Amino acid sequence: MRIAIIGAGQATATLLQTLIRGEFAGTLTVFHDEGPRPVQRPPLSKTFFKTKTADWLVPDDLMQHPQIRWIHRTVTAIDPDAGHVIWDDEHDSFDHIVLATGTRSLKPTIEGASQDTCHTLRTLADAEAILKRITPETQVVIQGSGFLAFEIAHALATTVASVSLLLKTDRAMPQVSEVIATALMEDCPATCYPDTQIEYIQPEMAKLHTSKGPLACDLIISAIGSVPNAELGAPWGLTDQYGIAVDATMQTAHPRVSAMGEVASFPNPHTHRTQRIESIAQANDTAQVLAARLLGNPQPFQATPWFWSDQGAHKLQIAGLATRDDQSTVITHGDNTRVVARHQGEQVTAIEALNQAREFMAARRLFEQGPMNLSDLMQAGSAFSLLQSSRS
Amino acid sequence: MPSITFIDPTETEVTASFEPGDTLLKAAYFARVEGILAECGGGCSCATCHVHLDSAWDGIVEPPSLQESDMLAFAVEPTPHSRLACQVELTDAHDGLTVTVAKRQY
Repeated sequence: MRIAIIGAGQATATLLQTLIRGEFAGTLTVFHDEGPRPVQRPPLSKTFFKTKTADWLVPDDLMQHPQIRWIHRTVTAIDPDAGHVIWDDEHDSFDHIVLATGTRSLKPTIEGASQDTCHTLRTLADAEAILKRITPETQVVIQGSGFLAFEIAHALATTVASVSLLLKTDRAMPQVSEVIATALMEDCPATCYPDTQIEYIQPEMAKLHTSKGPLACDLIISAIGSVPNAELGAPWGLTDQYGIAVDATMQTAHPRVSAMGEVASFPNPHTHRTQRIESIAQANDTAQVLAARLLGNPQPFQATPWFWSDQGAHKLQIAGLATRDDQSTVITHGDNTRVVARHQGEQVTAIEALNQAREFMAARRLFEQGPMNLSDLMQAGSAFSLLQSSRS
Repeated sequence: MPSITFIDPTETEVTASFEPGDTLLKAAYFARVEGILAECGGGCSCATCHVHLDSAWDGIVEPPSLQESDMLAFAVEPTPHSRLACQVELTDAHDGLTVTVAKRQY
């Protein structure tokens, strides 16, 4: 069996390791276009600006494995009926094609902006471009409200002269409860400007004009979201409104094409919604499900989503996945710890744990056991106590 | 280069070289030691890089943080010598030591 894998992020790294460990008998051809060798993405917004080095994603022996071929080219089209993967003026034929194309940063159009002054952060090349442009005198403005924007603010705060953070609305990190977002905001080293939109930039004057007035600015980093790289599947009807549509075993509507990782959209068994999820856990879990099917042992996706964000000394860990409209109930509140249940009525959808790893891990175990009830959680007093009582 | 010997869940010994400052996880990952999943990639967020140090490590390794201890409580059969490989930073003092990978990560 000849398999083509398009994209070389976390899901691909896990798929390769799982297939090779599972004694997969065929060949694997990986097409990648993000630099000569794939790197681990999470550290780019966390530790890269201090360490200035990136960690390889794939161990040496898999880069040189006799069953794995690496092609450093951009795939321009696929033809699933013929099994073709097409790049430059070349193509090759495969028995199966895996779309692991991930997402790309949403890039804003900013009047007056040049390539030198406006950046996004997703790839190693992005991080290196920012590193090249910053000095201890640089005045950085970050546009964005999510985890990425806040992680970058922490990562750069001690390296540059100033960091300003422009929030689209009055709310930081709208994906988490207000209690958690407020605690994280309080220790954010950036100056935060809520409800502030960019109007235009005057790079020669190092000035950014916003809806709230001018700001000193040498460099903008936009962290305003991402878009799925679903274009290869679109001509073949393999997409939905979110990304590449797959079933619970990562199979698309075409028998010769699968998708995994951030680009894959499917009905999530935890949230009961069809969606794409951008997280390391989702990359790993979808890759495991696909690997099992390719090894002849198909089993449906069952994992509970989980997330984490490192912001300075704070570690936020989330088990489950809430919608922005879910209710919030504080379960515990310590000096620098918070545990918040997100819920739809009685049904707990997520546990957000700030500097409370034990609650995060307990919540993951509880979700694996089945639905979690808010009254049970409140009565137990913590996810840890609830887990213990469920086991006794 | 200094090195660490990992004993994987099948009791196979794998020697992994490291540079001072690397974590145990990084050394294990690049030597493709079996049995270490490290689902979060080294962020002390998943407790799937559980290993057991032996007494030769006593006194030459920083004790686990509260965060790590909390995560370790959810590892399979933790012992007083349990650690998360992603949280153990290696120095020259660790050259030649042995680490046993937990039999199961969950």
